Amino acid sequence: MNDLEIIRLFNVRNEGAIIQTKTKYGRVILHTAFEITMSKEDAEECENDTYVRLWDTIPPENPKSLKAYALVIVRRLALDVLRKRKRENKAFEELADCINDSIGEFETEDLSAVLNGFLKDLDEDNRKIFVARYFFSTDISSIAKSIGIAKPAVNMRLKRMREKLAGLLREQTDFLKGWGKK
Amino acid sequence: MKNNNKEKLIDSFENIDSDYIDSAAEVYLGIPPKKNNRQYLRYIGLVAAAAMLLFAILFVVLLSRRAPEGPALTSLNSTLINENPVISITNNTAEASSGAVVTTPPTYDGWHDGFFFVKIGGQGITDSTPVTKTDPSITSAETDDQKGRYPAFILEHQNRASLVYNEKNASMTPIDPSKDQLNYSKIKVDESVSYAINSRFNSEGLYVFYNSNSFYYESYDVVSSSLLLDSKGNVCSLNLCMINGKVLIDNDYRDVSAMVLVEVDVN
Repeated sequence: MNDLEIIRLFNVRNEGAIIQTKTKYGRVILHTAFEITMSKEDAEECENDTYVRLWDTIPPENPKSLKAYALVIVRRLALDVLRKRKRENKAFEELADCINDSIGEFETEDLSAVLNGFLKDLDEDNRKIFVARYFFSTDISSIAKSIGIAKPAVNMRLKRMREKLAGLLREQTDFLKGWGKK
Repeated sequence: MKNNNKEKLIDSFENIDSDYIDSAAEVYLGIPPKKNNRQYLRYIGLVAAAAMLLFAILFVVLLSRRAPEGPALTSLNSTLINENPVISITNNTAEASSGAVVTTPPTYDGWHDGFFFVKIGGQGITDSTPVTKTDPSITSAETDDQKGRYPAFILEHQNRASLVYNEKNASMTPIDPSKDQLNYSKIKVDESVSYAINSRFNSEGLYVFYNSNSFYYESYDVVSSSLLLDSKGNVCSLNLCMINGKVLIDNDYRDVSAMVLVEVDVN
């Protein structure tokens, strides 16, 4: 069953939508939750909560990609668990390289816009690597294996991309500051 | 403060383009792009065809593989003084050419391992007189056939090498294994023997080697024999000749009707 048909089931409040979603995306949803929480129980709970959240939000939401939408939800839920448990995730910790004090002045949506612009400028491989690492919290080994390059090469690419993002964020905050002065 | 900013950045990933999430999910899952079944079938077909071709080539190569002509005794670190058969057996007659000669009369040595042995001298191969079926030494050996078997003559050099062949009335007579009851089981041939170069000293001290055809054919006519001398002129080995007889090879009897057997005692 394709995504449109599943979304249609959600829209007509047919519970088959959840079954179909679980069948089609259950594995990746669970995997995403596990990568972030590193706990099987927490991941399973996040997966189940994801189906509930999908049920609650579609409609009115009408996602372009059901998979991406479900993954955003499960990521949010997994991050909540992580923060609730006061646990850290190594991949996300790496993002600390990118931040500066002025980022607090950004709204999350503004940061997302900067991120989208940043990702758009990357070549496809690097974009996949970056999103895999910082959206999905995928470990370096898996990325290296999937992309077909060595682990040090993945680390190097990520480091450069973080530096580039940090520079971009600095530019944006400087711009905001300058704009605020005017 | 810094931590909050980091969390904000982490959260901002939620709003990135869904296409980026979808395509990265492939990496995330570590699943390579699926090949369709037709592609798989094509690959399987290609691999199978390549394997069949390789197998066919190997088969043809194995079938066409022939044993090299003549002796190939290079593994004994000796000098092969006569690459052509030194002793040849043709039409039930045997004679030795220049490489296998004796000067002193043979002495009786009895039967060993089913073969009648007669020592000829011990002075070494120094004369150019060829050993033939008409050599007096053979005649003297004939009388000492204690078991009613056909006598043989032995070529011996400094107690190191002996050559035996069966003959009757100064001519080669095919051995009938069923009648002669030669104890072929004593001729233990190393299973790895396939040609002269692979020959071995067996547990009986017999150095046996033979044409590799013996592995593949039940019978054949004349297999050339040869004499190998080392750099000092000592006999190292002599070829085993088989003519439509029977010999034990790899625990399996092979037909040989007459044979020349070499015994080499290496000190």
